[in-house]
Amino acid sequence: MRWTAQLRRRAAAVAATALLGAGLAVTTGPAPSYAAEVTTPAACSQEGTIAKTLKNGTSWYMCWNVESKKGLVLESVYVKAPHDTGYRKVLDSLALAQLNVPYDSGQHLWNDITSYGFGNQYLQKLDPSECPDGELIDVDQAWLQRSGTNSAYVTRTLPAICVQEVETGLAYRSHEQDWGSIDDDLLFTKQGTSMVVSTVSKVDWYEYQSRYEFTDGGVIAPSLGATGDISPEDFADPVYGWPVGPGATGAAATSHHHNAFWRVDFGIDGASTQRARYMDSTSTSTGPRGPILTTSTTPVTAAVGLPMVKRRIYNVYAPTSENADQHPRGYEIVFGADDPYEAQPETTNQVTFTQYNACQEFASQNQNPACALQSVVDYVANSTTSNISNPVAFVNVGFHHLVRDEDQSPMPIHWQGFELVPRDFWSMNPLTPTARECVNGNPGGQVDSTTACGWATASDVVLSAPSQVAGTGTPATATVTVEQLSGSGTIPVGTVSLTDGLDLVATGVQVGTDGTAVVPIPASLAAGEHQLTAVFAPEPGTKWMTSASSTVPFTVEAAAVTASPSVAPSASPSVSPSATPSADAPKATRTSFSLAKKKIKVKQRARVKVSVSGATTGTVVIYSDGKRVGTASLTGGAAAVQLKKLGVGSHKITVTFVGSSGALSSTAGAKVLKVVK
Amino acid sequence: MPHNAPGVARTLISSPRVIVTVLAAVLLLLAALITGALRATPIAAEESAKAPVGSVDQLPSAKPADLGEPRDPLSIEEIGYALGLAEESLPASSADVAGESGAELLSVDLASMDPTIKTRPVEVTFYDYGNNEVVGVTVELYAGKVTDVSSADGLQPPPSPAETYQATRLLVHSSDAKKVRTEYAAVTGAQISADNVIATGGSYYDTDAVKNDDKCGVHRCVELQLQDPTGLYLSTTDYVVDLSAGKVIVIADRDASSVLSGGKGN
Repeated sequence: MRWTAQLRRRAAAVAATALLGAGLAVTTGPAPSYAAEVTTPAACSQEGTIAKTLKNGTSWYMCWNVESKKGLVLESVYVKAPHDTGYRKVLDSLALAQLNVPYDSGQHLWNDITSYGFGNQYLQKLDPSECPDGELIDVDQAWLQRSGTNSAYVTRTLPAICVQEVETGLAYRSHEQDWGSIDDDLLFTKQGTSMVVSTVSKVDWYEYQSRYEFTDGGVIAPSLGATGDISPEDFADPVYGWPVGPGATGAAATSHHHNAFWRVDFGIDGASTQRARYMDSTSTSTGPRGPILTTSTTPVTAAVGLPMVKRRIYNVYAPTSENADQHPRGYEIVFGADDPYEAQPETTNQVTFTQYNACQEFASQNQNPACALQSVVDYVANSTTSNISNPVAFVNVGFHHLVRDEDQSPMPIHWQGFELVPRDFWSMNPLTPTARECVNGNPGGQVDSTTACGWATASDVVLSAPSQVAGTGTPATATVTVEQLSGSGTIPVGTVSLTDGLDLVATGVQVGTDGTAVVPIPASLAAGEHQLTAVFAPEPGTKWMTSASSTVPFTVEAAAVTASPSVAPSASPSVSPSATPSADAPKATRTSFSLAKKKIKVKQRARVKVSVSGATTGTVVIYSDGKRVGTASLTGGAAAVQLKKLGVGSHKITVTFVGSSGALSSTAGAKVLKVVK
Repeated sequence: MPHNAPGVARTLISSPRVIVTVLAAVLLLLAALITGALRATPIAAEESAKAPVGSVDQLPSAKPADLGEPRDPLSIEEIGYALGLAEESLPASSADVAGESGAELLSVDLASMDPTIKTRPVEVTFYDYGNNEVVGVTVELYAGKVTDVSSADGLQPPPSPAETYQATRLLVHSSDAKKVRTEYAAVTGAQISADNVIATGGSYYDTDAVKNDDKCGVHRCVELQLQDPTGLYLSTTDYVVDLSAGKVIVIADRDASSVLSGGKGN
């Protein structure tokens, strides 16, 4: 099945990132005392997982399901920043909890979640054009349908969830230029991306995109976009509407309020005790040059509905989970445009905090029979908890829609939503570059990373072959390039080691004046799969900083079994003379390949032609930057292969013939393939 | 166009850079027209991704060979298995919307739970017309057992497509809803039936302003949006269908946009 393959691919990416994280960990100084970090969150299988590692190295992991009323539900949401050694939980669950739409005329009031729902028949199939460069996930559904006197169950499997990586523009920038100087100096700048997970549900004329954005900076942004067409049933009221047809007194579309609620069940670091609080910054007096703002913190101990207040920050944190700076990890709720609707009690407040209760699923018209029809107002009124330790936030974002001429047709999508922003979840910017890792606390002036943290380096490793035979006389080599990232312009001084997980494979190879070190892989390396990382060890007393390469796979094949002495040559009279090649020593082979195009677009898949002299059959494996991206079987010593899609950038393509009983393995050296947007 | 405009245009056009730019723009426009890039291109249903829709008399109710992890999305086999287990625990007095034995199925969902749970509870929700209440049956798939049955009267979840169909049949045959029939006949030239309209149904509760909808909420009431085959919305907002009582309630007379009152029928 198509989606199974996609999900497997995702799982492979997660595994690769976990290894990359382990490799990068050596670049930091003393290991911070992390609480239990999760490396394999397992609330769901691959089929139920959405996971992605973004370009800047931040990874997100979560489980999904589609509920008949809430639509897309995301559970067990974990994040891992590039320097983290494992995943850490942020949320237990996140979903829509109501969409209440009162029309200004008082004639209509819709509850699109609890009276219609975003799942079942209202969930929309997505066209591939709606998910550019993304992956569509299939959803299984079944419900009872009647027609005439017949009844039957409708079953369908439809591509309904889109997972994309989207560009978000400037993630950060720091130019180490002295104030007043116009000299170009060291510039740290990065473009960001996000993973966006979305569905579309159609409830009559309105179509809603339920959208969850996960940024490489750790932000989670739930939002709801409304498109489709304006209500034909509310189109005759000049008092409460706006004329959108021809003429000054033409048909008026009735204004209305979209009150969207999300239920956010926090799971900060999986801690058993989490606390909620809010901070208000108010003007209390005036200082010598201007007004003074004083920030006060109010703990939330009992269930409470909180109205919109300027500069209010809502925060949930885990007191026992501290970051490396000994600050409790947390997330905060941040609002953009919001008009809470004060005409109904349940839509008046912006945030309602409650103690977790599985029964309380919806912000109004609660659908769970065990606490039917309750609202956030009831949850607060009926709560007996005075010491909230597992906070759930019902977050309300209101949007008043005064219809415009431009809303026809189709209506341009309009948005309402909020952000969950990390507060001390990390001790620093989760994307901090190595050369800025020591800039934590008062920088004492313009940051100068040549003196602040030392001279940052980057290491890269290329293997001469992806495999070798145990005990080989001609072992493979690892060419390690150590490059300077900051500081004055010289070649890094120090030595290079190769590691395989916790094992040291080779060590002490000096980096040459060209910035490279060729490390022989020991012939004694045990048979099996290895994951090699090159680590640069700076010369003591210099300002150079350590760095580690990404991890590359390396296979050691068991040595061929020598001819068994117990088999007497004369004991095989039935074997015809021509059928004895296996008794011969395997032949050496030579692999070569060509790229159909040296430059392709990211949507395209590269094609490679491979030929192996010395073998007619067998398997060839194509690697991109050490990762397996294609395989093929030889026919007459040749094969044509279409590779997996590759990310934007330059990729080093190598091809290995894996060998057979009659032919030795061989590898063709790297050719560069450029992938552009 | 103002008098001085031609002069401005000449000055601009005499600049070689402008001429090149204009030529390039014209060429791009032509290219775009040729490739169809400027056409609005709705995606025909048959061109979009295939999502096969099946129809079966009964869902498979056997225990699936592969059950998902605790919080995996439900497969169709798991939905059928949960439904079969849940139906066994319905009271003998339960009835569906057609009055047949067994309650009306509304939804089968992964139960709302702390996601660290190690079991796989599924919430199967019915509307029991025999007792006018919602019945929520929690089924634990790993054990293959019903773990909880709870009921609530007054609660009205979204109507199922089957209930919406039943409500549509009641409405289009009701003498109280003559307006909808006449409107449909006038705009289509055909007689309305539950099978030749596109129907969406929402759950409806008693409102303070309307007197004769007082039973809605305790009764199962549905408000309908009906469209003719061309997508035109019919004037249905005057009505609510009380499925428990099997009758139509007229709650208002407010469809000023109806074709019958001189409106354009939106």
